Amino acid sequence: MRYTGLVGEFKWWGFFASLALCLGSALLLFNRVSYVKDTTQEVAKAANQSLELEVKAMQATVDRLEQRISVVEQKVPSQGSREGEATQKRVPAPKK
Amino acid sequence: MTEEKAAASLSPFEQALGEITRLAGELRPNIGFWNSDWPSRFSQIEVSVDRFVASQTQLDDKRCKDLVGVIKARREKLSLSSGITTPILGICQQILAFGGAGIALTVGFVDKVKQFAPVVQKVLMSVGIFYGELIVLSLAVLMLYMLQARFRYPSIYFEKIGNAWPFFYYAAITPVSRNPLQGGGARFDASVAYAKDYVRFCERVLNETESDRLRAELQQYFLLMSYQAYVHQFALRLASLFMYGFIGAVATLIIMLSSIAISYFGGGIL
Repeated sequence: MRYTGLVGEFKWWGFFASLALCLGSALLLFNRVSYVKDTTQEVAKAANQSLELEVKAMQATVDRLEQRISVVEQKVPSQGSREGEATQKRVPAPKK
Repeated sequence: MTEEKAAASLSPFEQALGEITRLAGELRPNIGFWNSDWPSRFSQIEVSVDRFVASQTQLDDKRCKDLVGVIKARREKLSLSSGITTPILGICQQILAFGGAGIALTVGFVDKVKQFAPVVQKVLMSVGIFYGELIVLSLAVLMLYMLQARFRYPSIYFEKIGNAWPFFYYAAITPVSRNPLQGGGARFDASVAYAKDYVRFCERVLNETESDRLRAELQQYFLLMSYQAYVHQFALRLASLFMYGFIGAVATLIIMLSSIAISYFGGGIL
């Protein structure tokens, strides 16, 4: 037996084994170690929808509060006006 | 009787080769991975080889001188170094040096990376993984190189057919303490060994025959050729490991960047 050129030639399995090791470790590291968060379109849409609902609820609260403020402003007289005070006294108590 | 006739009809070369094969077949099955006493078991084969070489180098002086001249000329032309090992080691050292600096910078600025867009973060992560793989590859290459550098060639265990006594200290110098800090006793013992080795060396050189010179030249010539095989094959394996790892890392980087690009412009894996 003697040495031939086949001894020093590159082996295909060497490249495949190296690629498998590199790619496997890269994917493992990328998924476990990476803190990159890129939301998918569906998750973003759901987040948008929940935020929109919250905004609507807040808007409804704001409208309700504005309505109550306007009612209170009508009842409260302007400063220094006796008529305002008399009016305030003549306002009947609300019926229970 | 037939066997004796058959053995007698063989040339000394064939007889020696047959003897080596027979002894190897008897001794090899009993030598496992952890057997450190294999040199002592090999001594039977060494005696057989020594007997053959000694018998073949008993030639007339003129023939011995001619052969010594031929062997010397050939031995001087043997290439005993590899041209690929040093550049590969240099590249690996550079990768490790820059990798260390890169890790230090990454630790300092990793919180700022979060401010980049997700796709930029993914690209940076892919490049970081690529360089990390190169660092691991460099460490593996350096580890392989150190194992090869510390490799104990089988010939250094031989007593009769290894390094010839004129060319290597193994056969001429008695082992003494190599402790850098020695007392008077150790130095005295080393000096006594030096004196005895010097006397033996003088005796061998001054009484050397042409046959002895031929034997020594031939033995060292073949040993250097065996050493050349180790050096060359070690270099090939080092280069192959580096090539496999480097191409694997580059291919992985290309695949990851392509996947990021595909997912950025459409649906994808990453």
